[in-house]
Amino acid sequence: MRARLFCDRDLRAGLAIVAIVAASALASLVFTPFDPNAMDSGHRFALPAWPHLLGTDNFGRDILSRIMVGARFSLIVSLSTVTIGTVFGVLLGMPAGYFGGVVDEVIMRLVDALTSFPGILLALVAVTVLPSGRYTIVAALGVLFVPSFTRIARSGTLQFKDSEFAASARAFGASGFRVMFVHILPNICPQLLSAIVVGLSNAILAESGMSYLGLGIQPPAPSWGRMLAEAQAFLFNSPWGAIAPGLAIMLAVLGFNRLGEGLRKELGL
Amino acid sequence: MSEELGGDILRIRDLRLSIRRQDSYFHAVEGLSLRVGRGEILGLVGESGCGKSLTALSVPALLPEGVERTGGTIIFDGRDISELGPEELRDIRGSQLGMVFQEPMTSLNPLQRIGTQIEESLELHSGLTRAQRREATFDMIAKVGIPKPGLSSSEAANYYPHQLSGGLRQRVMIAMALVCRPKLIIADEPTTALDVTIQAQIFGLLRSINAEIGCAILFISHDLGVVNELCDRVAVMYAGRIVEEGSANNVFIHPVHEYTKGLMGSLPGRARKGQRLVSISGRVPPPGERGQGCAFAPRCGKVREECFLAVPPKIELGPNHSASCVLADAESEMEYVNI
Repeated sequence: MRARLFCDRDLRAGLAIVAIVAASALASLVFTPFDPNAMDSGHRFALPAWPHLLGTDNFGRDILSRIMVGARFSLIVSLSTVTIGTVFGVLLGMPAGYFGGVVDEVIMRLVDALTSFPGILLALVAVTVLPSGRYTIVAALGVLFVPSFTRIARSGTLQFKDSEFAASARAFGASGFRVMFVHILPNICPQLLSAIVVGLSNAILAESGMSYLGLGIQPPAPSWGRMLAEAQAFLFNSPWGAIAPGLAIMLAVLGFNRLGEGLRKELGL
Repeated sequence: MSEELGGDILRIRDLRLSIRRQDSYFHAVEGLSLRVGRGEILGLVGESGCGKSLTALSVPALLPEGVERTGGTIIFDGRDISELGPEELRDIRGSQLGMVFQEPMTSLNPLQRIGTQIEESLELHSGLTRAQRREATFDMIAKVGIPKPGLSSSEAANYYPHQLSGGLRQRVMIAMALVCRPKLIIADEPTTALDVTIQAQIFGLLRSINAEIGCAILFISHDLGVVNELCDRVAVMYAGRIVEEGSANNVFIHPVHEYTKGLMGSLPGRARKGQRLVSISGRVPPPGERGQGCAFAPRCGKVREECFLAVPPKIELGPNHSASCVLADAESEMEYVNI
């Protein structure tokens, strides 16, 4: 079983990259080479070299340390975003698929309405409307992920609601909600899982985009998107400040994408 | 127990089940009447598409989408099913009425241990504590004979469905249906997907359960031989109606309706060597293409003109035998004289 699980190339590559990102995020809790917010005017725009392995930015802050802490915030935001999307998606999509009819129509039209706005616009509005806090971004982005998970939960439920084991659960007196959440939900977990992992890569990208626009996690907490935005002005003098967070974003997105794709194949979807 | 029930656990009268297509209705079951006595095993026989399974599903009010009950009454244990709310129906399902389905391979949740699945009915219907439920589950697993030598029932409870063979899975289904000690079990072709040797084991199990717990069984099958082996009484169904009903002996030894006779003639066991098996020509008329007369008339060898005019009424031939055929009277007298 174990040998088979890791033989898929996408899965292995994805797992390795995600492990690196997660490890640096975790490590940042206990150790970073420098204080990520400590300015050092004597070492501005340093090139990658010892002791600043990825150089320093315009304030002389250590880029590697900031990337590590940025990974932590990136993962926290994307995990919570996707969790919101999954929970609400399941709560909306399963009844829509199971009960059909009016319930289905109402829920799915609401979801359609949500998808008809450009995502970034919706998030911008949400950030403006919602009370501002450190994690307002999570709620704003979470809403964007509800429609896709609703559709996945709905189609999975449709697939299993007429299955014989659901019929037999009903014949033993289980209520609709019990059939849904005790019998059908575990069976659609494979679909949800691979969607969750791919959703994480989208969430990382979206979080970076919002931070780049200055709407992400509030300063001084380092974020990949804002590092990119700050380094933009010095792109020609000191490209390192932009290349490092850019690579970090790309790597994380690539990792979760490959992992999701590998899972999809492994789970036979 | 109400008096008019006369000891019947299930009484179906003039049941009509209709399939909705756009704006028209097709009657899959039309005017079916049936009774199952307490502790009795009734076999409901008929070929594919005659409405057996829909009849079975109409009892716990679990008809599939697009099929509706448009007439008749179903009295289960003295209560009219159509007067019960969703809560009361759920309460009956599983606790007083157990169902065993045709496909043991797919009727179990692939992601739950079989012990958990057997326990579910208890969880829903009994006030037992978790420990008591576990114990009842292990008892039931032992009773239906799931453990193999060297395997206790508590170990067997930890199996997932994919680890069991078809026969064992059907035993799990039976355990699920039985665990709350229901008054009636509806078994819809429970052995069709199984090997012949396993079939025999399942019959033995059903019979011993019937004797031990005293629950009635409505056994649905297309296989006359199987029904003959297992049932006290038999009802033969054709095109949505019961055409002949009676004790297994009466029906099998003195079939009256031409359809029953045809079915009996087509049993391989009855033919002599070298003799051709009888087959009934034609096919079952699909719902919507049935005339106003006897549905079997177009295929019947002894058809008369009056057969096409009206559905023949049910005629009592003896204490425990009735048939719906215009020929029933004359012929039956003849045959009973020969006993």
